[in-house]
Amino acid sequence: MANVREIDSTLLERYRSRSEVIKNIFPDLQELRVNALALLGDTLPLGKSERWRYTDLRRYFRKPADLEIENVEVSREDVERFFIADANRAVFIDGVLNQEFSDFCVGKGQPLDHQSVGKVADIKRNGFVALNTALFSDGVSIKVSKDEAFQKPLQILCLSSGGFNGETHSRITLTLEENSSATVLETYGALGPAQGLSDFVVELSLGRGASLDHIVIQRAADTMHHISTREGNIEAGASLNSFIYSEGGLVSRSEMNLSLAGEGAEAKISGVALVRGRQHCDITTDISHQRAHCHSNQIFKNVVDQAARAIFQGRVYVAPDAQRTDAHQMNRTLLLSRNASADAKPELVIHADDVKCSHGATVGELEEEALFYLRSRGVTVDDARSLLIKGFASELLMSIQNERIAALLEVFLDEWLTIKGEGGISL
Amino acid sequence: MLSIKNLHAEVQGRAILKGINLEIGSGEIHAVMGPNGSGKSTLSYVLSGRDGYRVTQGEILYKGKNLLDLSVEERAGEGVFLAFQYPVEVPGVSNMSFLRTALNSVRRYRGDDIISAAEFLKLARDRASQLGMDQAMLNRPVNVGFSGGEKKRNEILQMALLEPSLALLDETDSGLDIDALKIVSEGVNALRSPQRSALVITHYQRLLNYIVPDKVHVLARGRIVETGGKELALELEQKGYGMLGLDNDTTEAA
Repeated sequence: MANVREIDSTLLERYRSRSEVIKNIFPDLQELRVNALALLGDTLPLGKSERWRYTDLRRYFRKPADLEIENVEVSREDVERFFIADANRAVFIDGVLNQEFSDFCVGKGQPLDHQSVGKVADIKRNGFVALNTALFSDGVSIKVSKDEAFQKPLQILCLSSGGFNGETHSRITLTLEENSSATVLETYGALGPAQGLSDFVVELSLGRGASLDHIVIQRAADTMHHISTREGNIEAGASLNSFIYSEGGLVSRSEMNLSLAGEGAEAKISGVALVRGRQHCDITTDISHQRAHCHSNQIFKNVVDQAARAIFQGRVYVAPDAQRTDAHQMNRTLLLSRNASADAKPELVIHADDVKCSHGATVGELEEEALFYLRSRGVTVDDARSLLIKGFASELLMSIQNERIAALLEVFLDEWLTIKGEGGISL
Repeated sequence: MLSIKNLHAEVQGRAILKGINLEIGSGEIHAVMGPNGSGKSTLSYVLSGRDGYRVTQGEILYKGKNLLDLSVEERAGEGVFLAFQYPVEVPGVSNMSFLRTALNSVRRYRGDDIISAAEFLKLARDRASQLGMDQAMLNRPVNVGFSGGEKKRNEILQMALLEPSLALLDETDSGLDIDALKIVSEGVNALRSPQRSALVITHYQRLLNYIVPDKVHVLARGRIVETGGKELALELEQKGYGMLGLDNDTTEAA
């Protein structure tokens, strides 16, 4: 025990001295950052923590990667391979916003709007929000003005450079004012093998009647720790349609924490996680229904092969005032090998009496009957398995509005299915 | 085409087929009738190679090859096709991509060139309209939300595309109204040729008015107890399986 505490204090000391080094980057956020730093000892998952019950980061924390990041030259050609066509972009390389590759924030002065930081993401509720708030060294803010509709999708591209081994913290704030709309992609990828930990906190703020199509494509390096946390506030009549595709990272944790804060607010969130080798993938959601007549619908599917593990934790909270709440949650997992495993922890906390809520979780293997059916038509065992896995996963791609992005995810799915062998994922 | 000698098979340790002998020549259509639980479906699964159906004795020669040596997909490649009694729903996989994957797998096995997406689209639409199928069914997930009749038509569509030399039709008539029955039968008859054979498994004689068999066999308690011409089916329809000293349901107590 003493040993563990010792590791913790060493770690916290590292973070403290890092915060000293960067304290002049955002001087007007200094108070918030100092407060966040003070909370780390209590909020980071250093010991046993219910929120981090299935995902243990202590191994990483015992040997954390360097917080001092060297600036690495990357070629435009390499970066462009990750561009979504016909989009505007903000590009992060190793957690640092790269102005050269970004066409979105250039010319608008300071890319990060300090006013928007901490508006939605609460340092007291979440250890990684506290850590990120204390230590983020770069970030970008996106704002869609009242009644404005972004015509092109906006891609926030977050890449690690080849050979990278460090720990990065970056902040993104996304504000949609009243009745505005946008399509935003968060895409995570790797320019080569990389290690360490990358942490992103995304603050989503949807004003009355705003509408956001949001897609996360997580293809981080498969030897990396990937932590991305979304904290969202959705006002009356606003709607969020979000899809999380996750196949990267050695250990990954993707969170979606939303507050439905105005009547009639709506959140549809779904996702597919494909994991294999020794990967560990954790999808955690927390949807809080604060007002009446809000809808939330969640469906997450996992495909788990080899010795990988998939986690789904989903909490739905319904406040006493949130009558007529409609909240549904489903998690389905397909296990492809004996060593693959999955955990599902659905949680409903309901304080109102007039609500419609449901949740469910299934874990299964490929159906023998369906495999036989396909094979009896001449399809080889491997092809039959691929077809069934793809069918299982791609059902959800239909919820993506943008056809081009749905098609791209289908390509990634096909690639995942055709690459065989240990570990398997490269970019 | 097909020669079954003294076939014994069990499912989960329970003997179901107990010495079947059956010869089907090229171009012939044979019907296998029998009460429920007589082993009809088991015979079709053994022929197509389903896991869990264990042959304990006997042999099956197909085009001179030992069929039991071949995997499920190799049998399909060699031209064995089973039209399922209960076609399986495959969510998330469009009927079109399933059909094309199947056809190209079989073509690859047979050493033929694979067919392009455009060519296939034309072929599939063509065959589907011959079977009176709504084109929308091609784009829907395989069998998901299909009515009983649509599922059976979809089976025949697959057969029409794969052009098997031995078609096994397992209770293809169940759940079909008379119009659908005619269309499905026409689909089967269209494939009749001196090079193709079929084994039609059915509980009722009705289907055999449309697909006229060369021979009719009665299967009961795991054995063929009677063989005759197409008139045997009519006789059974009139007098019932009781004429052979059989109940309508011969499932043995486990």
